Amino acid sequence: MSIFEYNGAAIVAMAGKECVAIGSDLRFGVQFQTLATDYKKVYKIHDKLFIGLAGLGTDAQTMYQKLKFRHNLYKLREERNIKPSTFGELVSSMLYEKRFGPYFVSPVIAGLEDKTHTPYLCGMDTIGAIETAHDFMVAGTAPDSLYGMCESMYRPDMEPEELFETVTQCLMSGADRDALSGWGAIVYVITKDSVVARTLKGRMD
Amino acid sequence: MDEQKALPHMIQPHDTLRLGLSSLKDQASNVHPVEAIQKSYPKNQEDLKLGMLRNLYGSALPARMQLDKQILSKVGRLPGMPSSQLGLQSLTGELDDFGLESYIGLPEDSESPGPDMHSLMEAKHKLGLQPVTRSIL
Amino acid sequence: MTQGGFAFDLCGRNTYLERRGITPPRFTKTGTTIAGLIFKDGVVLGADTRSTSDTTVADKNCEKIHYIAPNIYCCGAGTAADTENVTGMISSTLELHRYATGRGSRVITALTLLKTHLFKYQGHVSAALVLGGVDFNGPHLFTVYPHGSTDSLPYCTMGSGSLNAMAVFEDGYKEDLTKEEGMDLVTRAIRSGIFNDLGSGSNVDLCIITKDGVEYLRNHQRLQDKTYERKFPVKYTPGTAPVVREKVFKLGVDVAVIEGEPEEAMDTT
Repeated sequence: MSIFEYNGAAIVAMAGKECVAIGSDLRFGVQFQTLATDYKKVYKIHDKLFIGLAGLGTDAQTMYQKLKFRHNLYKLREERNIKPSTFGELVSSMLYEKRFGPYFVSPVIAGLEDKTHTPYLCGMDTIGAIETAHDFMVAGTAPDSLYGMCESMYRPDMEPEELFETVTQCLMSGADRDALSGWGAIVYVITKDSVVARTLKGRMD
Repeated sequence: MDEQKALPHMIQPHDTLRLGLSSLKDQASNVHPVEAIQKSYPKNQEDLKLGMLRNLYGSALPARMQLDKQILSKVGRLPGMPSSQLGLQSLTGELDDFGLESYIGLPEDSESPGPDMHSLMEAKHKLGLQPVTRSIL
Repeated sequence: MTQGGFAFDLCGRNTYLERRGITPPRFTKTGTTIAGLIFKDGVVLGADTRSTSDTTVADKNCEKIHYIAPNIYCCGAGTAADTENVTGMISSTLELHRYATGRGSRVITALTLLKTHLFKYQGHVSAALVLGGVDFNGPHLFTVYPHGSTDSLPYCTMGSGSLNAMAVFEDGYKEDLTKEEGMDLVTRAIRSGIFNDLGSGSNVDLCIITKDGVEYLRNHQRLQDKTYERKFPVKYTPGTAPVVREKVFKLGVDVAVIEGEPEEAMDTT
């Protein structure tokens, strides 16, 4: 068994026109046993920067706490919010520090750059090899089916509403073919003046 | 991974309250081969360099360099507080180096507070063991 | 911890899990075709743009030609995180070195820094590199293997598609190629990797370094654009998604909560 299949996750992030969306499923389980159905795998770093952490649940939570700590430290030192691209490098070097004994998480970072409102999207493997994307990024236990959905549904320059619908369809349909994720989803749409969080109803099996 | 470096034996009584539960096996073996490399590399490199200088210029030069190093490494704040060690770094040439150590796992970015100064002073004056910091993992 | 460097605190747990029959996740590999050659007045470096995680294409258009110095570039193959970090670290070292000395960097300095780093880690840092650049001694081309051994050659290839690319080089290389001939030969070499090696794919990146400057040709040849676009792409009308709850966070303004339809109780019969 792969360690990623211990808890299960499905995360999708997609870029639109001056907006970006990131969503995850809500299942928390231990192998085939579902334990909770309100477990979000997307975490907020600041208003315009979210990170999704797929992989081993314990490591994802630890990683989030460490990242929150590092962001607080950054704010104390720099007196501003961290830029998404800088944050990407920060996560990468934190993961690479554990090159020979890694955290079992694969992050997806989605954010809006401050002045230009251009979306920033990137994903990583467990040791911090950054992979920036202009369109979409996925992580979790069924990346193949998520990739498949995104490849055919993505269109450039979507407006927030349309982006939301597209991400939802990609996430939910992709996760339907994954036994380890599902039980509804949450999708955050980040625009320059608001963040909309929508909880979605999905299959409950 | 389980290679034993030496027969495990206790040199000093174990300070359980400060260092946590001990296991002799843990202390004797490295968890990863790279850990051994990373630990021994600076010392090995220095020995190599000094040996080379000894062969080239005789023993006086490396002896003097080591004296300089000893003096300069004493300059700094109390143990546990950050010292820039500018003199030492310019002597060893570390000032111009940029390695993994310069941006990965920096102590000032660590989320766990370092060991308390009391135990560090004890260790410095060889009254106790070198205390360890533990990260939250 | 008193000094930086790799941390090993999770190794114990991870090896324990491995012993219990749990497979650790795979790392992203570049699974690459990279190549370089020396022509009349400089160096041409080339790379494909695919990165893979097991058999899945992780990135269809990644950058494998890394900046080392204004006159030196480096193609990386192997574990993506390692090549990224090694090249980044060396370019920072050289930047500092240029500040300290006020002189341009030499290719041999970059090479020595790379090989000492890789040799130190005894192959555990798995980066295979093609390093090329022009300094006051003229053009240089080197390959660096993960264990720290190096070669100095007029033309060289690395990565999983190295044999395909080398076949093209062996056939077409001659001394004193012109820039256009050199670019064409490297492009053909990378292309043979892209089409014949499954670890390599997508587009051809080129980097031409001469004493007059650098030409970084990102996606010099776009080979694998989507051949099919949907004529009528599915557009979901707003309201398709089954929203249970919606929360709007106005940035810098109050929070508004809009409750949706209450969810019906789960059928547990």
